[in-house]
Amino acid sequence: MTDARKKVLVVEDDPLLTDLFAQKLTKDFNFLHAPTGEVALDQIKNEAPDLVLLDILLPGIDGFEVLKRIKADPATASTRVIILSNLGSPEDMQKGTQLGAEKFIVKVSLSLSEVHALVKAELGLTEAA
Amino acid sequence: MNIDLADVQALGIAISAFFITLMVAFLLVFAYRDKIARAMLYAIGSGSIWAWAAYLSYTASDLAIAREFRVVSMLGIVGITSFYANFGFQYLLEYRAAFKIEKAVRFALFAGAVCLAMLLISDLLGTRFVVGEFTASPRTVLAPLPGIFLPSLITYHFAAMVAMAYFLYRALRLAPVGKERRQVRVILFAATAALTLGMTRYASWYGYDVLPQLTILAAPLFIIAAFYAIKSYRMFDIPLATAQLLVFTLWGFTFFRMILSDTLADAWPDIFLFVTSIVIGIFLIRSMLRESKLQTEVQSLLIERTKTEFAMIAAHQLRTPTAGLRWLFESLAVDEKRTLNDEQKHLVSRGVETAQRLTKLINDFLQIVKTSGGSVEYSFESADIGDIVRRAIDSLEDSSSERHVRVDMSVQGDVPRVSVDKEKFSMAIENVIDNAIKYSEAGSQVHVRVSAERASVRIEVQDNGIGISNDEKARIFERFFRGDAARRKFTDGSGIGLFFVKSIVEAHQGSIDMTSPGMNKGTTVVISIPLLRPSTS
Repeated sequence: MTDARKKVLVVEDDPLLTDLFAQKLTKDFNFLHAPTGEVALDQIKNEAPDLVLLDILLPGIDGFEVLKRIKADPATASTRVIILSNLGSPEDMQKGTQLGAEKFIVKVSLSLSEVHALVKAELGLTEAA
Repeated sequence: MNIDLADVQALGIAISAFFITLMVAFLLVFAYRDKIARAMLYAIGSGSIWAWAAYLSYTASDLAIAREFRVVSMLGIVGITSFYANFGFQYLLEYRAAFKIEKAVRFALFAGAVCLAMLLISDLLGTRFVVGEFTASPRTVLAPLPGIFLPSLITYHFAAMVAMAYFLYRALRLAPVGKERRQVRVILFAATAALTLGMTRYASWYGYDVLPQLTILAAPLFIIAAFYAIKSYRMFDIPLATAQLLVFTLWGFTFFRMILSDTLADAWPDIFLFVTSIVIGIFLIRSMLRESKLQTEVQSLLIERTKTEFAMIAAHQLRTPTAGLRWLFESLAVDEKRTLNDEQKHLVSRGVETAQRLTKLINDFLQIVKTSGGSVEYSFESADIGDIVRRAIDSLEDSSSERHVRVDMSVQGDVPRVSVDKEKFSMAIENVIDNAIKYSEAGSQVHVRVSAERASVRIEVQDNGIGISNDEKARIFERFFRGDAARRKFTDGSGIGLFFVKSIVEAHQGSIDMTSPGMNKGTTVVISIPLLRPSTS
């Protein structure tokens, strides 16, 4: 039985992608959204999401900085973060995993369904019977 | 200091000679790196020979020596006219390739110059083909008697001048509107005017004195044309120009001291100073030039890096809306499938394909930028090329089945392992085989052969497809280049596949060659990779 109440925070500034994430993920999860890094940090402190899907290129502080602060704060250090960005250089990927991301996914290389399946797998959810 | 009115003309010629020689020195520091500067150097160098020989002819006390120097000055004129025509030709080449007739004219002028030079050298040895005797001192008669070939030289002068004007005029028509076009216009008019006025001098050889003052204008116009040509090539750098000004002032000072000395014995110290200042001056200018060049290179590198970074950021930014589009269409295709009619499903499917194609284009663009910026890293390890090729063929099975093209592979003999970046080399091989499949007709075959040569492994991919023309062969590995036949067969395609393949092969110290008997006669691509080196990462 899937747990629809797991919280997934999507940190994404693009409105279209945000709508698409919402459409896909709301069915199975408690969907949270933050358009900037600063809002994301507040949401993580207040809502304690089970998984964060984090973009890198954000207005204000970038995703790497957000990840650094999440892992630096003992209250949020255990938060699981998957970077979902369109930056894809080996240096960026290495940086992301070194800062503590579970995975570094290049958005454009996956379909939305694949992202959905990835989130479900990360949260250990089985398919509904 | 003794100066009389008769020396004023000598001084005028000497000043012209001095400035022309300055330009020669100036150009010497640039000519090694720029072909236009070299072409100008030869023309101005000839001008310097003409000017100094004319000065020495004018001031010689012995008529025979005056004649010899006049012969040398005529050699200078042949040089000026032929090299200026060459300069015009080189300038035109900056804008387009030369037509056959233009190349023929240039060759004919060169041949004519060689013939005239030989006649003049013969005159130095005693003949009178072009330059006859001086009947009186050059200070009183303007020219010696004409030789039988002087009309040939005059005709050559005219022909070279017309050719130069033609080449520069064509360059003027092609130069972009604005500063560049103005510069070409000035050079064209000044050079043509200088050579035309110079021609009026020949009248004096036949006893006609046609406004000799006009010919005095020839030298300054010649200098203006040369100066403008040099300046228009942006050879001025403020610190460099300041150093040059200092050096030229020193040269000027020592030069005038030298020529205004009363006797040769008095002039020796000044001659020594003049020569020393030239040598030191050239070293100083060259070292400043090297520094200026280094700064320019560093600046270019910084600009390149900025462009690369900008292009990468732009490409990454483009990926976001592209991902959005792709997900949008995929959502429609999967989640809304039941509510869409057939036509809508077809449109959605087209949307998915377009978004995927856009994704590929942006990824390819990013690869170009990375490759151009030198930021692609390779990780070499020992690999079996046969395996890599086999996997590439397997990955293209769907494509080859769809197109009804059979791909077969053979490995000839024992093929040693090589040191390659497996991921990138696989991409390169896939690209080449994919091209062979794409551009082959249904029912045809693509042959892939792997073999070992003495010091390398060879991969040959042969198809019986659209082939390439001779003209296209030279450009086939250029970025964004697509042959006409390829474009007709598939309108899509960025033309960067083979550019990448070549970049990857060359990063492996290998080589790639593409041959084709002609259009619709197939193509063979041969990639050669050196044998195993120690793995590096």
